[in-house]
Amino acid sequence: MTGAEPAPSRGAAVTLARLTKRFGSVLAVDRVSLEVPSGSFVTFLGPSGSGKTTTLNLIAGFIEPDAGEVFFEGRPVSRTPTHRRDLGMVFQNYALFPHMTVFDNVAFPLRMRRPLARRELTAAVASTLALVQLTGLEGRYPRQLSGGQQQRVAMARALVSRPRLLLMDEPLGALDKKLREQMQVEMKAIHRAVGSTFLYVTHDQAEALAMSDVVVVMRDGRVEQVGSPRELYAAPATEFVADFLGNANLLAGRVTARSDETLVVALDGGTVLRVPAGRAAPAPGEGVKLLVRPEDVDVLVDERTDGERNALPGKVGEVIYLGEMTRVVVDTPEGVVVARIAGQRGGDLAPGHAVVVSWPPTAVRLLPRPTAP
Amino acid sequence: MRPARAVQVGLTALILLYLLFPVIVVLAISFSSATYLRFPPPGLSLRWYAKLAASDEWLQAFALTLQVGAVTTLFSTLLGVPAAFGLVRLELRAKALLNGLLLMALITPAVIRALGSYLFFAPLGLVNSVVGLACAHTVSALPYLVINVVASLKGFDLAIERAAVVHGASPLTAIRRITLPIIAPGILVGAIFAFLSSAQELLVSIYLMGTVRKPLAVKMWEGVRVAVDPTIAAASTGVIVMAVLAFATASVLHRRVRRATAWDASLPEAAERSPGRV
Repeated sequence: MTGAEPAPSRGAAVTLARLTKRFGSVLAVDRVSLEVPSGSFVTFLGPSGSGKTTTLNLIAGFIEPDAGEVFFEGRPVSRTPTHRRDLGMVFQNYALFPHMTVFDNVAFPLRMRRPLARRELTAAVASTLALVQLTGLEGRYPRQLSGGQQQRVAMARALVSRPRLLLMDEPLGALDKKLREQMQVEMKAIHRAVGSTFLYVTHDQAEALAMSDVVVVMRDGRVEQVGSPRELYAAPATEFVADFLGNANLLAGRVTARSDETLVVALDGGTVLRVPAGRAAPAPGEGVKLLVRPEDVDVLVDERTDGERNALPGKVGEVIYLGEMTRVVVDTPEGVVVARIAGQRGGDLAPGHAVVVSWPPTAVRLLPRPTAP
Repeated sequence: MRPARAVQVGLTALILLYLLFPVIVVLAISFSSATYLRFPPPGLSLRWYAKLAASDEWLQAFALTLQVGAVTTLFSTLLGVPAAFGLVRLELRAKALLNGLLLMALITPAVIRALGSYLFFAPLGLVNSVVGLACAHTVSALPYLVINVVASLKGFDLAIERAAVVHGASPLTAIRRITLPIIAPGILVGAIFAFLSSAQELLVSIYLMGTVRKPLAVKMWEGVRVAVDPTIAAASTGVIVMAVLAFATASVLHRRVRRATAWDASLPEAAERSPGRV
């Protein structure tokens, strides 16, 4: 790196304290509290209308909270206007300045924030463009660039002044799948290289899992669950989280008996299964939902299953070959169960075949069954 | 050519002819060799243009119209651009009322506006003054600016301005550096309309500036009433050329504004060339 390259900055620690924003009669953000450690990559994940973008706008200062406070490094920022918050931001449609060249777009934050000599300015812009792998297009206008290139310019503009906090609002949403996956890898590398705190908003669970240190799942303006991608995927706290992160088979039932290690669950369709009792296992009589991830489910044609596994008889509904794996949809007495069979097995399955779906009891997660509304 | 297509082309040509007919007549008469208004002209000559150029009265009228138009454009722009920002960006309860008031300036009968302006301006000593007439013209010119700038602002992606603010520009700097250059074409078109509305306005001008110095519109009106020689046609052609030039300038400027609003002026390193700019 060149001499103009500043050392990685320490990212800002961000705290949200009971942040609340109302639009008319809609509670867009409802008492959101969160600790974002310095230098981490935190993603707000949720469906549209869950309040994730509003939360980001509150942190940026584009809108003011009705209640609650945002803290940077422990200091409240509600009295600090947006332009003094030392932020970088990548917008959904990039929001590049159409009347400026790539060079001027990227130089903009430096010109606003610190007056540099011409040579330093040029060097800083060049090194940032190198960071996002976009050298040589300095003289182009945004309209002369592809979507992916515009995205990189937007990244460079957000990064060039080395802000301690970077906000990103669905920055990859407009790119095609392949480019999106490539940018995910690059973005993670960039995060490591610059050391700023990244706050990222997306509705794409794969994106959230791939890049984040911490994922904040949002729903109806509230935080549903906070955790590392592994925690959220393996141990979702609610059905919503289980369903939103990845695919989930959810089987409804009721606990009929419980010992120290085992729970007996009668499913609504009549099947009785034994699963390991977790730490906070529900008591007999309580309703539960069993979460089984499709990749834990196996599909066998013959009826032989060893007694250790949970098994359900069924009939193949669909077989969808996806190259690296096959998705098999099976109709069982307990509802539809989806299995993901890795590799090239499953070629002999066809709709209508009688099969047995099974999974190891240790693969089951117990979720509370919401009381009927 | 198929018959349907022929009918279509024919009709279009007729409508265009109908719309342009007055302009064609005036243009033709201005080059007439006859000493009275007659169409079609019996012969061609440039004598009326020569007469126009030799006449101090006409030249002064031209100059006065340009002055009043320029001041009107300036006033309307200074008032209209902020007004448009307010109408688009602020949450005003009286927004509908303000819109209505602006449009009223367009639909109020000119005679009433003229009389009102006169009664209001006379005691203030604003009669027979360039600034006074420009103030009165601004009333009817302002809506052209507001309407054009409001349309531009509504089509403007607010995220672009936010991007400037989030990256360190104060709200005013963001508007000056980012928003205004991007909506400049809208402002320009509004300004041209404002200028033309002032240049062709007759009634208010008669009331406020009819005696000593006369703007072009008043001079032409009097010309038609008193003397009927084709000098008026030549002057009218001048006005038409002015309008065409205004719009041509606008489209050229539009392109140049885009380039010029990149970082050139007012920055220390401006003298050097940005390496990226080709």
